[in-house]
Amino acid sequence: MSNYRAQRALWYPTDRAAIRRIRAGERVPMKQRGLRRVAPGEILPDGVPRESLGWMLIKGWIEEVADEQVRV
Amino acid sequence: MSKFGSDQVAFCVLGGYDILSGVLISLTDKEETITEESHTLGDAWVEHSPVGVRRAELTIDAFYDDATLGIDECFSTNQSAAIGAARALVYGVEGNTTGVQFVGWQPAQVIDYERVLSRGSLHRVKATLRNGQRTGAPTVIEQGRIIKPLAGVTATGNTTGAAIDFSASNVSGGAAWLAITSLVGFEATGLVVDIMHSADNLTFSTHAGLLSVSASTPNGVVNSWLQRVVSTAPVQRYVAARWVAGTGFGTSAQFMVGFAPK
Repeated sequence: MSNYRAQRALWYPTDRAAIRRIRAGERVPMKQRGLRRVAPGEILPDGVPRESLGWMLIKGWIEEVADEQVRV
Repeated sequence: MSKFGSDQVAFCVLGGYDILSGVLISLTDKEETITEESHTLGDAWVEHSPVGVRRAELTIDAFYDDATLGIDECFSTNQSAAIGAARALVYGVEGNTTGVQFVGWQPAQVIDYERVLSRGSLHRVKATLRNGQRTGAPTVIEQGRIIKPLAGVTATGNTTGAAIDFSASNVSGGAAWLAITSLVGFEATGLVVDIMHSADNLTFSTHAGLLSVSASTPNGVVNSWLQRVVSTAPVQRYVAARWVAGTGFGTSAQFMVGFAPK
């Protein structure tokens, strides 16, 4: 699986039930989303919603990094 | 189609002064295209042709109120500054909830202010504002949507849970409006407000061009503020507001954030 580095600060929901509800078009209050932040330069953790990766890559919000760079 | 009434006028903030609360009776926002009579010999009817210039005028009728940050202070405490001063103005026409429309003016130049005292009546005030200034920035009169209603906050937060869906991402940016009407116990740069955006309503980031609208010197001497920040950088489909209560935040802040995409 590819690794990605944040090019800017990102906030993403971690609550699985909340993510399902958001995907279904529901409004989910901030407190139920379990928001987490990724700082610029950090490697994205596994919890970042997969569907966000494609568009964030295209828009330059994240970049793909090689495994060696992740270990360093 | 929806109809709206006077109870849904959510706020009216001029340069940081909330001039709605308990005093505003009517507000008329008028835009006009200047025309010239262009009929000639042989024409049976008068004709009017646009000359390519528009004018906007906003008239306010309200009860007189001498409260701190009240309407009289807004227009007259420092007469030389109030009359002729160009300020930004926002008002809410469809209520004070996320997603509804607001109108923003910049610059709104105060051209007259009247106190009307009549026998057997409550004191009234009237004011007229017009668009633009000779040496000022171009006139902006725009409609946007409220992404954080005018309400108090006591800690850092955001509205990603109720992000506004603008149907599509754009490549031309937009304008963010921040109207602060109260900062309690505030010092220095205690409040920073950002616009957040996302293409899927899941993962958000702050918008670089609309970042860090910081209330560093709220209106000079009073704890209120109004600012419009523009960016031409692309804005993603879902838009929300974020605020950070930093060092010197105090106990509470009351503000509204709106966004108008371009």
